[in-house]
Amino acid sequence: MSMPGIEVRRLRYAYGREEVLRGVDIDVTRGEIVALIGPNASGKSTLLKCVTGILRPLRGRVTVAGVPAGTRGRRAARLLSYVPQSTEVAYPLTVIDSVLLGLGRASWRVDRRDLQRAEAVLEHLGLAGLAQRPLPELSGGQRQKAAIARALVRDTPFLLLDEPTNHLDMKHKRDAISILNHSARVRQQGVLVVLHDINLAVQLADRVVLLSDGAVAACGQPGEVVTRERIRTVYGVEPKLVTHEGAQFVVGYER
Amino acid sequence: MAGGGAVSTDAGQGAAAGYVRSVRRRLLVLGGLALALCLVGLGGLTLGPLGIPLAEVARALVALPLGFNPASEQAQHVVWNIRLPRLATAVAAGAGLAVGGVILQTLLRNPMASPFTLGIASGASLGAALVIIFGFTAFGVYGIVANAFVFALAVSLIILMIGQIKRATPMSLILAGIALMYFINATTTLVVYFADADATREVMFWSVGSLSRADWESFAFITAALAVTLPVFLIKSGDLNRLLLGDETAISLGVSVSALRIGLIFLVALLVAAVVAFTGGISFLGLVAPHLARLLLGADHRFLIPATALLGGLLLAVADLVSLHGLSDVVLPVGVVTAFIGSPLFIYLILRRREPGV
Repeated sequence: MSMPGIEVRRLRYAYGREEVLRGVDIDVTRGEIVALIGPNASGKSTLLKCVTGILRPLRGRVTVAGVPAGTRGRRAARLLSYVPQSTEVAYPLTVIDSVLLGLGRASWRVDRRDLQRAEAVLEHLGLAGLAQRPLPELSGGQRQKAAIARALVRDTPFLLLDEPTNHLDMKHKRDAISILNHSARVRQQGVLVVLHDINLAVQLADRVVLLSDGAVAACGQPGEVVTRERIRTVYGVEPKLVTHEGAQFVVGYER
Repeated sequence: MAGGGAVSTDAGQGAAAGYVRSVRRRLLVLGGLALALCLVGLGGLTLGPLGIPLAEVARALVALPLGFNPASEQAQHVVWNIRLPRLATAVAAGAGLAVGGVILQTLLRNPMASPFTLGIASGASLGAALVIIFGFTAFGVYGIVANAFVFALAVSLIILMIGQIKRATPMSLILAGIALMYFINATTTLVVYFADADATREVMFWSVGSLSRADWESFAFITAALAVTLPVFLIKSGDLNRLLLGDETAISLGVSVSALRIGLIFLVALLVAAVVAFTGGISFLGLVAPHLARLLLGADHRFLIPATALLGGLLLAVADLVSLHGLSDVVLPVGVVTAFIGSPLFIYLILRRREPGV
């Protein structure tokens, strides 16, 4: 079984006249984790939104399992799940209601299988005790996990996450890492994740894509991408690096 | 059956079991609201200058459709020709305004949205006023309804267009709606200023909101609008739920967000126009009823929409009874009563809000 992956070719996107993506190429195949890193406003979230179909590319081609991104309808929506950066909810939807919304079936009926799937995912994420709580009452981290639960319950071939560890403390961050690893290794999902935290990207990803000013500055294994030279040119700081288990981690910056 | 209908009772203690219980609880709340509406309705039919005992009201209600002999011809006449059409119109109009409110609050993701605060009801009032004052009465009441609809729709579209402008936040949208409402009200005042006394009184009726002209025709009209729009809102309740998670998440879940928004706002305009054309701009109902319904059973539209409809009907029926019988010898316009009840209630709801960032 070899389903084509996510293919992004010569992707350009602009907000008005401000070009934020200037010809980006990336690939994600099933079973691998690709981390998108880069400074603020380098185009990471925009790239993710173009793949999800939320934004329409100005130029270039984006396909998910051979289907052009932005194809409307439930069938195309079943190819990928998306966890946005903001998880604010306007009204008191409960956690389990919001997770069940991830299942793209007819909205009116919730059958036993759906409920069992939702329950399993909530337990997997340690959210079972919060199932009946309204989302607006949860902490930012808990809401983030509920959004991840909604993405996981769908069991799509691809999983896209925008800063999923933003509001998480150390323990929950560790949980999130193991969940993404499980998604890629066991469930064979292709994971494309935007991360601010370079060290987390090094730890988690099979490949890292470093975006700078709307273009790919480097792409490859974490060790090849995260180097003193690249961090200096792309982020404009002089990093202190330590090597641990063959990978380089940023532990501070020179003044 | 909504939600848990397909779920068996032996689901155990986990999240799934909790869900089944919550579905049952919400269905129970819906049943309670329906029962309360029936009780208020029956009670309301007994009140008036001619006191009719409950038993006689009940007998008069079933006598006509089932072909019995009524206890008294007079009671039957009062119930069927005077009180019931007004009550039924109140319930339908209340349901219409409240459902319009809940749909707008979701589509614009704004708790302040309602047919009234966004100027949609004012637009409908202006549309009705123009027809009355300039005397395009060739089509009778249908002309008024049609023009009310055109104006309600125009206001909705302007709000939607403002919403499409880059970075229009929910708050700027609601502020634009309020500005629009003032502009429309000023236009209505200007039109009235140059009209004769009869037309002015007529227009006054539309701007305050009153059920004094409610009859079976108005009931039929509003019910027809509900019959067209409510099933669509219910069918789309899953997509409306997904919209609560944010536009981006909704799109990623396969919802055509723009089409949904434009299509449903069109239907809200239709529904509100039908109500306003017969009852005028009854304020606060469309704002308050959805919030009360959410307090009772949460934000899931499968339950929220019917609950809001029932609550809206119940609130307007109660407000109308107060307007009729609250002061011994004066009948107040119901719009005044809803404003007096609605504004403190809304302040209370604002004070007890826990939701962040909206």
